[in-house]
Amino acid sequence: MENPAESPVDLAKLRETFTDLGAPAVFRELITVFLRDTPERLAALRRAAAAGNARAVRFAAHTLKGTCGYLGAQGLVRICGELEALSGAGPVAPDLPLLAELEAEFRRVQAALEHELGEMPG
Amino acid sequence: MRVLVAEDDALARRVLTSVLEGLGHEVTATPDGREAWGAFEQHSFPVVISDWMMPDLDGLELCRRIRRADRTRYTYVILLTALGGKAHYLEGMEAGADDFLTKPLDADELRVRLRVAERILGLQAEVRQLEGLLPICSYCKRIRGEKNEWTRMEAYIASRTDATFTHGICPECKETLVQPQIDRLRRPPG
Repeated sequence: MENPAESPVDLAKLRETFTDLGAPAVFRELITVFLRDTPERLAALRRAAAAGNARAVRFAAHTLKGTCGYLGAQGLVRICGELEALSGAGPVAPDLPLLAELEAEFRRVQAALEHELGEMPG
Repeated sequence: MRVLVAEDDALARRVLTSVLEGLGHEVTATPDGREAWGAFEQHSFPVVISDWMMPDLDGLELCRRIRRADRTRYTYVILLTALGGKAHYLEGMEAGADDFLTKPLDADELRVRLRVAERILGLQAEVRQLEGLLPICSYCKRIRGEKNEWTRMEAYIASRTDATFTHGICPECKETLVQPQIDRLRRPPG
């Protein structure tokens, strides 16, 4: 089991990339956009699963996995990876337990990122 | 360098674009393979960096199209992938990719891979220049062709271009070559 006290994100690398570029504002913007857009992407995943569209689930999970990788959100990466593998293997059930897990993990990530944003200057 | 980016994930696209611009490259960023292909058809890009998995037209197909396009200048293609494994690697190579980068992208890795791209593109340009060198006879100015045959310059150029020659004499040759002959002929015998 993962330690619940441990941060669900690791922003060190992304922060370093934008600090090196002299563009810390972009770093902040990326997190803001992630927080703004992800709920809709999760909803789209739910809709695709409800419609039994395995291909759409696979694509959405794959893309979200990529995004989460940049934020060092390893829990989300793992769940997205499992969703991607599952939906690549055959038809998907409309009420995938993995979706609930994904949403719960996103809430943890959301809280951690909002906290990070609060700590950031500007 | 001019770099064409194809990446459907907005965050990944922004990171890639920022890093590339930070390295001093001129970036055209597109959100999918189809738009990237449209941009490629309009302009030439020495480097294309494309995500592998994209809806509609994916990175592999984009790569195949670029290879089929048969441009005079080589395009160096880097595929971005979260997918690992030998099978994927081979599939990418078959499609004509030059290199691979895994996501999440590492800025330092991208920088050094682009240096390789620049080196390869530089060598390509050099080869093209060497191919453009024409061996020419210093005396009669005939040119050596691909089959080792020596051809008059007019014939050589005429057979490879739309140019046709009309013959005349330039003022310098008239003075140094033609006029002395006329003078010699006009000189009274004896």
